[in-house]
Amino acid sequence: MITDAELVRRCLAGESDAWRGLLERYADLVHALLRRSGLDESSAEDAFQEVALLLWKHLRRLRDVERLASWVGTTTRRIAWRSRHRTRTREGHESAARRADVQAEADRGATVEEEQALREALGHLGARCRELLSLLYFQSSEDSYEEVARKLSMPRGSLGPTRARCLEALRQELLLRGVGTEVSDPAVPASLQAGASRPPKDDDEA
Amino acid sequence: MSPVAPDVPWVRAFDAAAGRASAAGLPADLGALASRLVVLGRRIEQESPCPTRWVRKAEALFAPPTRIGARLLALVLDSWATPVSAVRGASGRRYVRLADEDARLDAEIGEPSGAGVQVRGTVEGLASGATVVACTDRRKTVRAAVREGGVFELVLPADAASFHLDVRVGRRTVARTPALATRSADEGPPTVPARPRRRTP
Repeated sequence: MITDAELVRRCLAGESDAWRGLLERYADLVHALLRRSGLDESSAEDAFQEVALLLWKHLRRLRDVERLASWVGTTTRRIAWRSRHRTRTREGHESAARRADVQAEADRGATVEEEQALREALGHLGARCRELLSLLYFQSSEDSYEEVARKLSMPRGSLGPTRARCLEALRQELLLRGVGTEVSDPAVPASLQAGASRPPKDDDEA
Repeated sequence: MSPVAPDVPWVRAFDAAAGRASAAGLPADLGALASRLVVLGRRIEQESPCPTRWVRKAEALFAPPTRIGARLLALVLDSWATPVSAVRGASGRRYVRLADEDARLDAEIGEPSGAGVQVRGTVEGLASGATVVACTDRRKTVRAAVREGGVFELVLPADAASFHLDVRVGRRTVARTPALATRSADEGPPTVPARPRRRTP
C-alpha cells in the first residue's frame, strides 16, 4: 500500500501520477462530505476544486503526515461551511440545517479517518467480497442468508466461511490504515490469522 | 442465526452491528467499532461516487512544484551541426535533442512545404498530461497534446523561420527550448517574407 506521505513526497518530486493518485484516493470522501453538508452540485464542484487547490498548496507542509484523512476532512468541512455561509438562501439554509442534523445523528462518533479507511479498505477487496459484505451488512434490505446466497449464486453452506474470510481481509486492510483492533481469540482459525487470510477471488467457488 | 458459528469476535461484532446476531459477550470496543463501520458502510453504499470530471479538472492543478519557472532545455544534439552525413540525413530534415538533468525532448523538424513545417517528437521526464506549444518568430502559436509514450506532433505555419517549444501542464510552462530554425542558413530565407525587424535608434 502506498501511504499518503509517499504520494505527497512523489508529488513534490514532480510526479503527476502521484497527484492523480491522491485526488482519486480522497475524491469520494470530499464529494460525500460536501454533499452531506448541504451544498448543491454546482457549489460542491467549486468547493471540491477549492479543497484540491488547498491540498496542492499545502503539500510541503503535509509531506510527513502519514494519513491525510483528518486534514482533508477538516479542510473540506471548513470550505463547505464557508460556501454555505456565502450562498445559502433561507430555503437552502433550512435544507442544509436539516441535512446537517441527519448527518450528526448518522455520525455517532465515527471519524473521518475511519470513513476514509473503510472506503480504501473496501476498494482493496475483490468485487465478490465487496458484494457479499454489502449484501450482508451495508444494505438496508436485510436479506436472509438464503437470499444473499442466492443473489451471489453461492451454496448456502459456503456463505459463512466466505463471509469470515472477507471480514478478515477487511480487518487486515483496516489495520493497515490504522483502524481496528487486534482480535486475539484462540477460536480464530489459523487460516484467519493475520497474514494468512485470503479473500476469495471473484471466480472463487464460494 | 448465523449460517456457521465460528466464534470469531470480529465476525460476530459485524453480525451484531447489522442486527443479525446478539452482541452478548462481545468486547464493548469491538462492538462499537463494528457498529460505526456498519453505519459508515451503509452511508457509503447510498452515496454516489465523485464525478470523474471533478477529479480530471483538479488534476490540471499539477505542476512540478520544485521547479521555479520553466526549465530551459539545452540543445545537446543537432543533426545540422554534425559533419557526418548519415546523421545529417540526405533530406533537409533536422533532428534535435534538448535536455537538462531530468528531462529530454527529441524532435524531428520536417522540410518546409506549402503545408507548413511538421514537427514531431517525444518528451521524457516531464509531467504527463502535458501540452507542447510551439511559438514561432511570427508570434503564432500551435499546440499539441502529449500523447501516450510522450509523443507529440504539430505543424507550424509555412512562414515560420524559427520557433521555440514550451511544455505546459495546465497553464504553467514547465520547460522551454531555445529558438530553433526551420531552415539551415544556406537555404536562404523562408518563402514568405519575414516581418521587418524594428530598428534600434
